[in-house]
Amino acid sequence: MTQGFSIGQALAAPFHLVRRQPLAVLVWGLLILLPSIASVALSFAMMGDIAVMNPDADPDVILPRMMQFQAGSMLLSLLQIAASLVIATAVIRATLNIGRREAFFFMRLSMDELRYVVVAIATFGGVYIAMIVLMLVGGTTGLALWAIGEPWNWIAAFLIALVCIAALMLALLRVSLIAPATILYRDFAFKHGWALAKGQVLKLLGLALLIALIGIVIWSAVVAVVVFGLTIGGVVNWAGLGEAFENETWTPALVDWPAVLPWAVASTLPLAFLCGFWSVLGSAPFASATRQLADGAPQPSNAQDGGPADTLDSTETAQSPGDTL
Amino acid sequence: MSFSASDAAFEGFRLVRRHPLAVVFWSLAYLVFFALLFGAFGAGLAEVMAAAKAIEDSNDFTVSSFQSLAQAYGTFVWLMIPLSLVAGGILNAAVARAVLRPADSAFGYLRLGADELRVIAVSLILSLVMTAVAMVGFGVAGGLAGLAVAIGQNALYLPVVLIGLATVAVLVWLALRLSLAVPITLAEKRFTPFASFALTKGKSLPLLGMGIIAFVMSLLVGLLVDIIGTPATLAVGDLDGLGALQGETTLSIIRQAWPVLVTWGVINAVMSALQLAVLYAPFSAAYRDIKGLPTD
Repeated sequence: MTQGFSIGQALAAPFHLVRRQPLAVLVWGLLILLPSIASVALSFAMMGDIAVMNPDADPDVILPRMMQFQAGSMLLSLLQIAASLVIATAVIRATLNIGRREAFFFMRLSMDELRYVVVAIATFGGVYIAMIVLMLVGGTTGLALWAIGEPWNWIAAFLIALVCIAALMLALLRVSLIAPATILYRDFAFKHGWALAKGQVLKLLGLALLIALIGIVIWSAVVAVVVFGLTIGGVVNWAGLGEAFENETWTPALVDWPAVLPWAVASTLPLAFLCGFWSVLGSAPFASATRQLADGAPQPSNAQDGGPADTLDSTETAQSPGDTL
Repeated sequence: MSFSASDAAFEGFRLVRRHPLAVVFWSLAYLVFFALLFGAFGAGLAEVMAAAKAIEDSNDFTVSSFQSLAQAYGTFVWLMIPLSLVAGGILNAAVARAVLRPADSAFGYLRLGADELRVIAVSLILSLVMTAVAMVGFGVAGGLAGLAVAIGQNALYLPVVLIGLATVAVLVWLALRLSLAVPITLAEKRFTPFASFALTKGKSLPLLGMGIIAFVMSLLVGLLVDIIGTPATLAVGDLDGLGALQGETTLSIIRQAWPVLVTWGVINAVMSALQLAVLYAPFSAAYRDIKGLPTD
């Protein structure tokens, strides 16, 4: 069966990818960031609009504006979700095919993306249902045991909560390789992804915790640098800003835009790179783990269902022109 | 014969690509269905919308405020059930025919004959079976919950939840085992509501996987059509606005709100037709592949 995977190799995957494909990481980040920037701009425009409106204005005038804003922000959210999905598949593809070059920075609109979306929604739905079932069973078991009296009822409740959280974590870790396996095998890999994670739960937990730790460290460092820079540069008056928010008197008109804009423009590229790295950090380690496990695993039997791309070199040959949506 | 769940799951998309005209016919069929429903219940729909809006706007939610909505909606549902059963039977038969007898493509595979009557009868029987199982399972769970409340015994809530979950599991399993009933009825031209049981033996998991994939894809199709239809809905408004026409006759509602009704009808007819193909065609493909029938 599977031989396990190296956590170190999986954790190194995002950094390898950043080193080999820095431009791709920047482009991915920009694509994620742009809808957010547009959304913020739309919110500012709307807030400015409402601020200058007469509070007694006719609802018939305000309502269409609000609806336009809602539709626009909904569309931008959908765009961002779509971009995130395309980029997640691109990251997985780039990790699985490390060393290769591909057009459009590994981004495609193909059957891979459709399968990835379906798998993401189905696994999310499955985990959500599992959570509800665990809460129901755990809650009613706790209720049944509550009569045993203190302190045992508290101990029982704690143990039940612990078991439920552990079961949920187990489920999350077991499904964590389904999405990358779907890209690897070019087929819905519910069964193979689940099988690949068998016996790897502790390693996957370690990997997930280390990814979270790296994420927290990087995030804290970035926030510290940004806050420090904005404060030293005198761009933001934190005390005044807090007061304005508390008194609900803040409006975009209060922002010193000429002072902020150069900072905003200058920070766009580093921020985009950071967003790109964030996506890489979330997907690449699991793609690497899948690759390592699949290379040591027996071939899936249903080769006709998309043809598994089990080795580094066969991944691209499994692609057919008709596979593009 | 074995079948590939992931391959069968895409049958709906293949069907739409092979016979795009069929989707036009199915959309028209849905439009007729919506028109019939509105013709019979137009004024009632305004009442449902008004009652729903009243609840939405009210800060003081009470059981009585919910009762008016339930009353208005109840009449609507009772009228909808027989109409849905007939329309569903005709459309399900059309999808199965498109997969199993692709040459019979006249009128977008829509017919009103013995096949459809058998499909409607099978659908009715299966719905009754599922309803009976649900009523027994949830009835026992509900009775036990009532007992737990009456005697104040908290320990009884655990079996209530377990029986409820077991009932859901049985319903899903039954739905999977009976999922090939419509394709079998159409392909074999006989009334056999439970023949699906033998054919699906040992195939519940692949069928579940196929069903989940098809369901998620139908959600995505719905979302896409919704996005495309948003500008039109924004331009003319949505059905919520019908609440303002409460108390008016159906004819008067049509005269005043026809742009909303037509827009809603067209968007939902196209969406329903596409979702029908994506959701139901895989089961006919599964039947075809399990039986080893030719694909064309």
